[in-house]
Amino acid sequence: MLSVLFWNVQKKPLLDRVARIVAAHAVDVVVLAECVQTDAELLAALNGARGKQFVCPRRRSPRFRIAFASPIRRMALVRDSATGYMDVFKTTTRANDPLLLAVVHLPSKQADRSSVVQETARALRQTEATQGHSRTAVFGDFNHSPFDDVMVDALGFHALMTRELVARRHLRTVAGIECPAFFNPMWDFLKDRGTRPAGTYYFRESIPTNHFWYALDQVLVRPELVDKLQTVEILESDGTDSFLDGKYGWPDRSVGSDHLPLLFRLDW
Amino acid sequence: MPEAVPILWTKKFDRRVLTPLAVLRVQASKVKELSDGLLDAAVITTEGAGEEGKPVQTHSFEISAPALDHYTRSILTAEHDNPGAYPVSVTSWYLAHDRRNSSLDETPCAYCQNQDEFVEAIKKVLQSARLTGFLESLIAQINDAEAVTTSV
Repeated sequence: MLSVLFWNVQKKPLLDRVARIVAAHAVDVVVLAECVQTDAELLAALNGARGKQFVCPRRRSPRFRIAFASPIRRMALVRDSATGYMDVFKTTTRANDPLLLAVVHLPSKQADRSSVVQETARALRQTEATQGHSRTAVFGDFNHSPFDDVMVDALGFHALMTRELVARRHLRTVAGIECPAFFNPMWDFLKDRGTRPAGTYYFRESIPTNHFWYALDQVLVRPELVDKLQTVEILESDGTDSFLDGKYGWPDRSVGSDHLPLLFRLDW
Repeated sequence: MPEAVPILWTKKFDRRVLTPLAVLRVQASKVKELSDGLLDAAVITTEGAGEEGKPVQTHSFEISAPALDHYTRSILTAEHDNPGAYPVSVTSWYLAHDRRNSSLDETPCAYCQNQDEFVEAIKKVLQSARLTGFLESLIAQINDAEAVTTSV
């Protein structure tokens, strides 16, 4: 089993909380966005206690902090860009074929730049072609909701809401371009979950149209990995302390980030 | 007698002007030769929607190292209206001066009104010390890998 954690830490010193999540959930891959701490500080936090020994990939773009541990043997950067929106790693485990783990931190939706998303999705398709397979999971802060056009658009991420749809419509040809689909499990969070978060980010501003909860942090998997995706969780605590405001249930920015962490497990 | 109407155009149009794509392709075609075949480059164009949904073309200038798991980096993107050519926006970290924590900032963007400004922006990227250092780092890693293979 491969456990992957993604968290946009909002430039806050939260490595102790990251380490607690890693211990509580036996995380194998840690990816942080908006992290101002260094690789050395991340490794010191993760390797401080007895347990897994994490290392950082030899190369990654400066926009992310990344560490991995056994059963992963190697994370080789095979794609990045001078915009820093996406890193793609060829990830080798002890027992199975390599995976492509793609990490994204896309510009905000307010920037109204669907061309950036389409270019990122195009680059990912090209990387899969170059690497010769589509055992791909892409995850991170997409800064868009699962239902936004660029997430669903065949020329965007083409991320569909059910496993059945992905099995049936796994490849569409649009404008002469073959567009493979992703399964987006985050749709499952977009509902009344009682006191539990209905997204990873809560937008408090007073604007006419506000969904309040947004699932900006997402994981998408190609059809080859749909059956391997075991769980997806929006974490509400680090195993000891809650990330949520006790009264309102939104992310408590006074003790954490404005984003909640995302954890997923692949049977790999 | 009517007053003479002045000519308001500033200059003769340059009939040799090229599209951003043509300028980028020429630069990409030189990478293999300049790296003794160790690196490759291509310009990939996608069509999408820009600000306010306007149709745009985005050109991504990509450098790859076949010997390093086909590692590929897009070193810049150039985006303009579709159809169109100028003005064009160039986005790249390599437009910035070296800065600490630049990773968390917005990626620098140059807005180029015409070919001259575009060529200057591309020159700034391709001749930046950071890009040169990055490409030399790739070549060094390829040399390392080849040395290991040879010694084995």
